[in-house]
Amino acid sequence: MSGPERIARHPVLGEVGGAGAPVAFSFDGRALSGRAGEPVGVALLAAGIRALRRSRGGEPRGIHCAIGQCMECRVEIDGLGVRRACLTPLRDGMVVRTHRDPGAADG
Amino acid sequence: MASALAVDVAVLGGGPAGLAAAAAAAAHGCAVALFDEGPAPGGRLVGQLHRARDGRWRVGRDEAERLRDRAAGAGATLVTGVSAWALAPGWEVYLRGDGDAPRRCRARALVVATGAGELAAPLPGWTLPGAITPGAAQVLVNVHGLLPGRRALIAGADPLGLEAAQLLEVVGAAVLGIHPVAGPDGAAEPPADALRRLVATVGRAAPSPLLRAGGRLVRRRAVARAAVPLLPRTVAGVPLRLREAVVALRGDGRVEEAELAAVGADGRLGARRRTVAADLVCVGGGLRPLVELLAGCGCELVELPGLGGTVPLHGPDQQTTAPGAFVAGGVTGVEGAAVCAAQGTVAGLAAALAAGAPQAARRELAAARAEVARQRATAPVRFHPGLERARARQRTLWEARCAS
Repeated sequence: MSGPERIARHPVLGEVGGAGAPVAFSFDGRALSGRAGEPVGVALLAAGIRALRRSRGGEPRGIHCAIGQCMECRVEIDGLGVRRACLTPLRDGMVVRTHRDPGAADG
Repeated sequence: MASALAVDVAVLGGGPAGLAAAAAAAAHGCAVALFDEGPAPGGRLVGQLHRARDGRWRVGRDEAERLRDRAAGAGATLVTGVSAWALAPGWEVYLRGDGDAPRRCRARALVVATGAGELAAPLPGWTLPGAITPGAAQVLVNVHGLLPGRRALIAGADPLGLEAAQLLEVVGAAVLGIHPVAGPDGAAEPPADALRRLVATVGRAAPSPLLRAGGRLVRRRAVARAAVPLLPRTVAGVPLRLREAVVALRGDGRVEEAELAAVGADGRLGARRRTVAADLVCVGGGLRPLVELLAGCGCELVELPGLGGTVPLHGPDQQTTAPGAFVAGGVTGVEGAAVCAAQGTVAGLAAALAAGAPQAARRELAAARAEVARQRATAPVRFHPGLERARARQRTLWEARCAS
């Protein structure tokens, strides 16, 4: 099964998604690229990364509601702290890491 | 931007209700600031896409753009990427955003238009990455241009699930089926009840002529029971399977498969299980009004399941029990975008008057209220079957409180 993919052209809506310039960022040390201004979580999903944090019990969690309400997509971003990946715009050079709750089990 | 703002009317939430409220208040000379957490105004509207009965597509983002231009054109300041996290009567709004975003906003009047949030269905495995809400599918596909999976299953046979199926199908995902979700008690909604609920909610907008035509008939339970085997096998090309419930999601680090069980006429699950491979499951438990900001600042709340849960007690001008605080849209009960926008206009006019705008605004109120009723009467989708009764009950409770 192939992973998530960007929609080049939506059959009804035409252009969808931001037209931001390509930017480089990293997730847990892995070099990735995305589009400036799109949500960090969208750039990660486009790169095939679904698990963004670990629950207290060590389970993987990812984007669930995509509009900032469920808080399941929290990541750590250098200079910003813990942020919702579905709302935080991607910027060039961002250093992003899996979020782990204090005291969370390894997973 | 200064860290503290002072305006006549502060609007919380930039969906159709908030944008219409901001436009109405600004048009009457008020200084208006609207705050929204999202990257752009429009709320849920920006992701909405459905095929109307005439076969034409209804594109939410076009409507969102129109509402945004009207609000901005009237002079309202639209601030995105900022969260409102508390309110103090008087009114003071506490905000959080990046960089030089305002931290506080003082306002003479307030319109709370925070909308509705999705509920999770308590299904084993719903927390696995790849299990998203139907609303998330709207946003990822139609706003961000990202197809989150190729083989999708819809867990939750309700208006949002039907729309998610349609929008995923349009961009080429294989949508395996729309199924009900089994409850923690090991039973699902009896198929005849599920059919009656679907007809009561999406009947008028149903993409399937059979669901529409059957609407009148299946209101009676006995007829609905007889109709279940005759159900259309597909809705807009997607299999509709009210007689097979999703009981669990499984996978190693992400959703890889869903387990299904047959649902008997009484809702009980059969012993046999079937497993299907899927990399995307839309798990929907419905919508509920987002009232958190209103709790604890003098707005009385009341629980009415027909409106989706707990809502602020509110009057015909969208006023709450807290002086100067008005409400509009999904926070007052889950309804479609056109009803929300119509309510927003009423709230915006009333808030403008409370903030000291000239009496000209009062002359527009009656027509704005009539527009809410008109939009409600012609709404294509009802999210909860008991909506009309719940609205009437809400009115009675408001009147009783005013009389006491």
